[in-house]
Amino acid sequence: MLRSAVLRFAVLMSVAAPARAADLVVGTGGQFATIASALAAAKPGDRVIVRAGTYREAMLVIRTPGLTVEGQGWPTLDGQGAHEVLVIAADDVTVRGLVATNTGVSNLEDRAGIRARDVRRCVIEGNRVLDNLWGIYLQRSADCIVRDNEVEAHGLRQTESGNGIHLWYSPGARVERNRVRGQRDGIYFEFSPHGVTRDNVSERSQRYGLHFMFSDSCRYEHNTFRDNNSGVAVMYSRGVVISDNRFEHSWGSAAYGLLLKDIMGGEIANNTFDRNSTGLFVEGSSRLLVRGNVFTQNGWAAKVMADADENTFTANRFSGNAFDVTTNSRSANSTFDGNWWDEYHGYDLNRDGVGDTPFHPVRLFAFVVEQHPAALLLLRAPLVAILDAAERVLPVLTPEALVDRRPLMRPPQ
Amino acid sequence: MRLVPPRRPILLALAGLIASCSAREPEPIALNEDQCGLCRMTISDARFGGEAVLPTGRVKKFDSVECLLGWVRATRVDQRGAIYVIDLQHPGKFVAVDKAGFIKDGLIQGPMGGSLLGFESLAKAEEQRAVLGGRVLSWAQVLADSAAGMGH
Repeated sequence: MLRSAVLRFAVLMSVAAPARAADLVVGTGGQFATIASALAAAKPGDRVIVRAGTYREAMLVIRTPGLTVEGQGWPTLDGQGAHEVLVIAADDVTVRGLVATNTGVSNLEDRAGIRARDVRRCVIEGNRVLDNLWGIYLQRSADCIVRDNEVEAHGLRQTESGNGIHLWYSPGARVERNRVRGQRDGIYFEFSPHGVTRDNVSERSQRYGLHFMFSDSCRYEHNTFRDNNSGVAVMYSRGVVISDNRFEHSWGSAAYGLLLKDIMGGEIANNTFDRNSTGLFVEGSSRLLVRGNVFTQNGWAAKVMADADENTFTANRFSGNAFDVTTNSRSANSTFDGNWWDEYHGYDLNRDGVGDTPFHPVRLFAFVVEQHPAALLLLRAPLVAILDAAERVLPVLTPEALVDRRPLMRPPQ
Repeated sequence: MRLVPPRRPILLALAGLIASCSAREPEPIALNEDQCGLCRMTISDARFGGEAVLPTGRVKKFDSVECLLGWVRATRVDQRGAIYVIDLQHPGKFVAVDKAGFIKDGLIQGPMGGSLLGFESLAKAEEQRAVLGGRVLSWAQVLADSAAGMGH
């Protein structure tokens, strides 16, 4: 009974709503020639339909709460290289189906293709945000949704690119299924807690595919970060969950699949780190659970600095890495327990699936290279192999605490 | 002919070693390549940052005045060497901190989320304050300010 009543109410509302709200049509066959005039005439709850065409207008500002601005046939809103394209300055606004392009560059203004400024509950979905200084910029805007957008910049010089999807003091955001390419940082959360970032693809960024600082209690799931110049950086935050992502192909001396700096508490689970100079870099971070990740074909799978403590690595899979784990001090004390290492050559007499001898994942040589990077030239030298073997039998230089006493005989599922 | 390539990285490495030994002037920041010596972020904005040329001849690069300041505060005076800041109005250009002027809490945010901006001189900072707002400080005042506030 209750359910059908609710259903009837919902149907009634959905039928009633469009009757009160008007459609204001811009462009071919519409009542309005410019978007600005339609925005000025719109009442709360109305829908502004923008037909195909190119619109070269002054900066457009949406000031009517509850308005939907919807493109049909991909209308292009052109900033003419001179200004921001579209600004959302009212609550509960939805923007979809638009092409926002050509803000031009500026040293003193952070111009964005689509900006939400001091609002709540905006929805920015299914837009193409192309060749702007900054792509989509949420500024002090809470509980917004940014999804299914395509954000891309090319042709901008390195010094002249802003971020693809940028959140600044914007808590509670959902960033989903976007595709971001070629901006400085693909997705950037700054002072924006309680966000969810899911199913995005962020690639070929000039710096980071994902970057967040001072943003506590955020979740990052099922994203792909690929070919980003410096990988992904996560800094100065508490309680983050990073799971089921792919960190692929970040090459360079300062490039990391995932760089964790000053992160307190959180979980790094079921991610894949594939073909990065350094897969996972952990510095100044504590109480992290790193589990179920796959590290394949990285230069260094994991670098865990000595100032990182109480971190636990378990049920991870390490294969085909030049170095599995390294650190910068003998006093490093993270816990490795029950991981699978392709370099492990131990045996399992009691057949419980756990190796009977411990595995020392920090090669002596990795440890030496950390202190003297130039020594990397000797990577394939026979003497190095002998030293490594000796160190494994009788560790004297490498950190004692970094040992897996229960190495798995088979890769975890 | 295929045997030749391995030699090049070695030569480059040697050249790099020699260059870094003789460096006294600040070394230009390679955008999107160099890492900040404090926060480790890749430096990507030429308008901000600074550098210390250590007594050993090594350089430390920073992405923001905040990070430069953080490093200075954590480093003994005799180990700091010569300290430079980037002039916001001339991206990439270094100014010795003692000659520079600064604006704190101006309209432009740096890479660390705060606003502490470097200029060629106190006079230039004063001039820009009309546009950017905030407070004009000398390097000595920036140091004193951070010691008092313990923040950025």
